[in-house]
Amino acid sequence: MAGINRREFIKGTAAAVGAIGSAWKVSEAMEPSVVGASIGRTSRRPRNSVVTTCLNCYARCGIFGYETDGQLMAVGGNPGHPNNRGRMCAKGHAGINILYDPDRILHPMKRVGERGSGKWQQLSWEEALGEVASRMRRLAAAKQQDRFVFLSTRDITSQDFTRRFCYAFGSPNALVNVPLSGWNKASAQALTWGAPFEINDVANTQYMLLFGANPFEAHLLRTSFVQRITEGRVTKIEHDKVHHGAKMVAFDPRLSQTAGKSDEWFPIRPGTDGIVALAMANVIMREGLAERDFIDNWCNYPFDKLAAHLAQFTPEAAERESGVPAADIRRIAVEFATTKPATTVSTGGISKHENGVQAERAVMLLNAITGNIDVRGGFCLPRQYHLPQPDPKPSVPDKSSPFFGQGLLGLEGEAGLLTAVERGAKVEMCMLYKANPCYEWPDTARTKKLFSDEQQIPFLIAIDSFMTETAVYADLILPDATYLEKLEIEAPPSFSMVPIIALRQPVVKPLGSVRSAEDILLELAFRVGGGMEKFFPFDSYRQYIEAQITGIQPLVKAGGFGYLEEKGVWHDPQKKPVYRSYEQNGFATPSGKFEVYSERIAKAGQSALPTYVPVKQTHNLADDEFILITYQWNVHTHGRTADSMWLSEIVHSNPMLINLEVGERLGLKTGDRVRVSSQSGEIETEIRLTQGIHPKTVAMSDSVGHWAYGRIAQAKRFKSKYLETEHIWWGEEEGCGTHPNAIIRHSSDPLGGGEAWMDTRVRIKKA
Amino acid sequence: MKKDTRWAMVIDLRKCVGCHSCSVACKAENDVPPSVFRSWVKIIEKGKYPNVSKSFLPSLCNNCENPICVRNCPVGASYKREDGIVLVDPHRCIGCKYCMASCPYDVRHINPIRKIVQKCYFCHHRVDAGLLPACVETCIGRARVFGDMNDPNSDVAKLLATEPVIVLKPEMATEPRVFYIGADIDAMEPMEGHTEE
Repeated sequence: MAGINRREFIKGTAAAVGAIGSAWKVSEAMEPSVVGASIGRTSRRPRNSVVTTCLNCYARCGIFGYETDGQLMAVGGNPGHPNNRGRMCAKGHAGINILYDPDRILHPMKRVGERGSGKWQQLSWEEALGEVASRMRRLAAAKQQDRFVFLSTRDITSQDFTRRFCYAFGSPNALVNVPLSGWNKASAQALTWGAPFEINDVANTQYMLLFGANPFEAHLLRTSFVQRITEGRVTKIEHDKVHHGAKMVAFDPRLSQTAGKSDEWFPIRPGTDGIVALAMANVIMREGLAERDFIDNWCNYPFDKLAAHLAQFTPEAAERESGVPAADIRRIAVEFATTKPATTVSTGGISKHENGVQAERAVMLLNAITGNIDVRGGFCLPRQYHLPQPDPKPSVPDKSSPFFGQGLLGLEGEAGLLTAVERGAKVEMCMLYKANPCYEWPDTARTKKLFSDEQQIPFLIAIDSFMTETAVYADLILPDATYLEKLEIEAPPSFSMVPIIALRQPVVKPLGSVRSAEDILLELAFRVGGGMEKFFPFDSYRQYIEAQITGIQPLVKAGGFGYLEEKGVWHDPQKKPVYRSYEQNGFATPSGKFEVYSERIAKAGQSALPTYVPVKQTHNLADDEFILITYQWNVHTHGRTADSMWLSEIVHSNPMLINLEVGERLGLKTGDRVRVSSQSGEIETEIRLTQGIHPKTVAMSDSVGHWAYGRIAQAKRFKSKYLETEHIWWGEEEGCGTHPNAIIRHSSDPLGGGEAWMDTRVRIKKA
Repeated sequence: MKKDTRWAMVIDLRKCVGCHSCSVACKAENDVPPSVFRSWVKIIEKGKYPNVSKSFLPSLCNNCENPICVRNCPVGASYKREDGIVLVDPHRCIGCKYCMASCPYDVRHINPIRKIVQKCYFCHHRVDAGLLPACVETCIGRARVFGDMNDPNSDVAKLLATEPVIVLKPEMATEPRVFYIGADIDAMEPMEGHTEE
């Protein structure tokens, strides 16, 4: 039986069950080899499987939902998916907790008490949608469509659809998230090489240089990425050639799980990664280790002038700013330049600062001058389909919305709403989809004030599956299907270097009377009318998806939507991975080159060449001041997973990390409680002393510390139809953590417009 | 089943990323209630600033060749199958915890809902049907390899033949059937020094 595949397994089991009406037994000796299947633990019967795409984080892995009698029993990885290749993270398994969370909202609800009082009345979809539509029609009649604001900042799947809804209505205010990564990183990358993020070909690399990246716990397409890191890290024989295990070096103020497993960890002062990268670039240019070919042919700035610009960033200057010894900067620079192929890996740790765009550009430069751009094992452009908007497309209304962020690329900002309203911009209706600003935005007090104030936001609608910290202020809640109950299309970047298209489809019938957000918007468009409906000539969201893929001929030939329903994911078998893809059409920048020199940044009044701008807030600290940074856990996705019992049992609290020596000097010990204050406010939290953090840095994770989002997220023990909820132990013993956003001030990088999460100056006092 | 089948697991810690996917896959697969785990990852921090590193130790029942728990069970509920998997018969177990006290690895627990002793059985229901244990199938880094160590062609046997491996507490002479590659000796006590999470 060895070598049996999943299809045969299912056929075999189904036949056996049908024939003898009992469990299927293996009669022959075999190595367990079937992947992508599931059986009942006691019945031993195979479960029905539905192929779909996860959305418990933004990696969007291929998964199977295993179902028996309409109940989802388990979730597993899809071995046929080229990104995650059958593997799945803790959050993927816990999707079942999200689906069956006893505190899910299952019916439309209307506020009956004061705003935020928690008094609700169930109503029918007819009444709920009727109310929204009539309010939208009134706005349209008064020509005040621009007072309609749509926030879907935690969604990357249906953004085109929500944007279409806004534009068709006549509002420019579709405040959506930039694909996948933070805005500052996306801006830096788009300005430099025309794509919003990179794919690091880590499985084939020899050197990984990490700046503010923690891929073991959180990263773009993490499960797919981290499995390739482990591949690249182990010495092996491949195609008769030895692949030596790649070296991994991490610059991070905190000893993350990734830094803790790296070959070298350099605790760096937050916000100074840029100057370290520039100093390395300087060393590489000066030592004659740069790859002239790429610089001469594909960069838009001459070699000699670049070397002259970089000369100011000496390793000694970088040491003064960052605390990383100059000798180490030199040594790592030489290693990075002389080990081929190599790649940097960088994320929020460096770009969620006021100088994030410049820092990211400095790190990108290292790849360019060492010839590692879009080569095997290097720093590659994303291979990804961009699904077209079906006709007829609504035109984009006047773009001068006061709610947009200030970034160079005009990216629609989220917390921009906060400042805009405070400055007098008018909102009549605000619709939230999977957005929870009161938890997710910085400056919690300001944000709560905005959303709880009926003068500032007269009508608030939440399309969500859960009673979030913001939905508690809603006037109307429209219950959204979870990702396990809905239809959506995905085109994430691919690690096989051949682009893919994947489908998300319901694995079980939606619970209660919940509907997919897309279906809600589709019906609303018709109810509002006034010409809006002509941009939605689709009977269902499925038709919209079908229209999106009609242009992709090889997929249509393979069976189109039907193929995706059956297989879950598609790639063009004719396409082979091709590196140095820029050689065909150049880079998607104004010059067609890798823009080391950015005219667009110069116009915004900053240095056109990558440079280092000290972070004003945290550059000079008093002896008793620290920089607060935040981080992500491997079992949580921002503020969206704390209601998963299995995940919260593992991580439910977030003691603030303080350097051991510093803590002892302050007379603190692990388990103590402290008051942490910043210019935005004060919180009280437990602490943990550790050797693994920079002395001037303190760190707190997000994801926990909920004050709404259901009882499990708040670590309460309660009776429900699931016995397990009576055994939630951690709330009474350890609490549910403290959310740090209350003391994080709202500020952003002027170039990228993205939030500067890591630039908060704090003081600590024993509570 | 071949006559001399001996199921075993090799965990290559060079590939473990400490992600807890195994811990949660096990909860889902085996209906494990809150407060107990059959599979978990211990994370320790070692060294002095700035020379600090982390080590991970994924733990589960070793399904020992010489299981002390089986010997000490007063009612014969704990037993070893022919293929080496150590099981607890839920109908015989009286919840006396003798086995828990005698396990050197602390891998057994009382189910707070059913009040009987349970532990990892290498997902024997899946293995019998030709599937891999849930934690092995899901392992992100492919750190976990499972198979018949007596079959020289199995991946497990090949790894055991070519890589240096260690087991937990070899001095107990239990002959664990979970082997570790690249283990950090400082992290090898399954429950001690647990500093995080």
